[in-house]
Amino acid sequence: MTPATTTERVGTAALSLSLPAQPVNVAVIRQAMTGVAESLEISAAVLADINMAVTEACTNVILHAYHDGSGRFEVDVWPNGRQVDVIVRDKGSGFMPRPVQKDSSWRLGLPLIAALSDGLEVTSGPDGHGTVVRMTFDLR
Amino acid sequence: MNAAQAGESAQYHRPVATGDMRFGVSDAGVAIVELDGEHDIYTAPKLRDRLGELVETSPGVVVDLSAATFVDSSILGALLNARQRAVEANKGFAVCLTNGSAAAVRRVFDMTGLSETLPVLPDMERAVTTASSGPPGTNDASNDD
Repeated sequence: MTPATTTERVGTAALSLSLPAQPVNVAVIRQAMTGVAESLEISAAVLADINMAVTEACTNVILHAYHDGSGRFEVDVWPNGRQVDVIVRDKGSGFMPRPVQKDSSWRLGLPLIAALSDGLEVTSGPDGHGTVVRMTFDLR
Repeated sequence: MNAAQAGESAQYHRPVATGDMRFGVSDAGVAIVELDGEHDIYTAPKLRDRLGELVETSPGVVVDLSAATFVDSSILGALLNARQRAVEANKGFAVCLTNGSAAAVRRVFDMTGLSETLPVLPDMERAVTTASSGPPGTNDASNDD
């Protein structure tokens, strides 16, 4: 089914989660992703890539989206033929120039997502609020 | 119960187990930190702090990832931070990742090219020997991006 837009789709997501953007919940996302993998016929190798990429996307939300440390990340998984789209969305501060991080995890996160996925799109959320990261994975 | 409800429930019941850290010392006095299970931004601050302490108090530090099933960039950041502290303190530092380690863990090191930088050794004997023989080289790939 063709999506209406990146963030607005017709039909039902295979997985739709909204959780507080806290470190403990990143593992919850991975566990949920693993839970739907079999029904979507996602191989172990692709699931490993998805779990790494979604972890990095959620980590970016935790580290950078909300200045006061409160807020949520939303994760949707959409089967799309021989591909699956994984969308991580926040309602935080969006794209902002940021100082170089002493911890190198931020510098590794997005390149890792780009390398692990077969398609990556990073856009601002509706009305310019928040960030939407759409990662596409081939079900090879 | 739909998927969203399942997720909300999960945060309250905490069904997800994160990885463990174990601490030891080699015969040569090198501190050994063994990670098993999954490690991410939830466990990275503790790892970073403990590695910082161990670099200060030990002649060298080895992080054994043989039993880790998942590590993310937060953990790589903690390892790079410890490596940098070891260089500054003139201490040894090494990571052990065996051929039998989880593919997901080996893949993240392969993709980031950090195996030589940290450095990563394929067994504990060589990792401990490396960490006993002085600080890692100064060719830090983390500054390349």
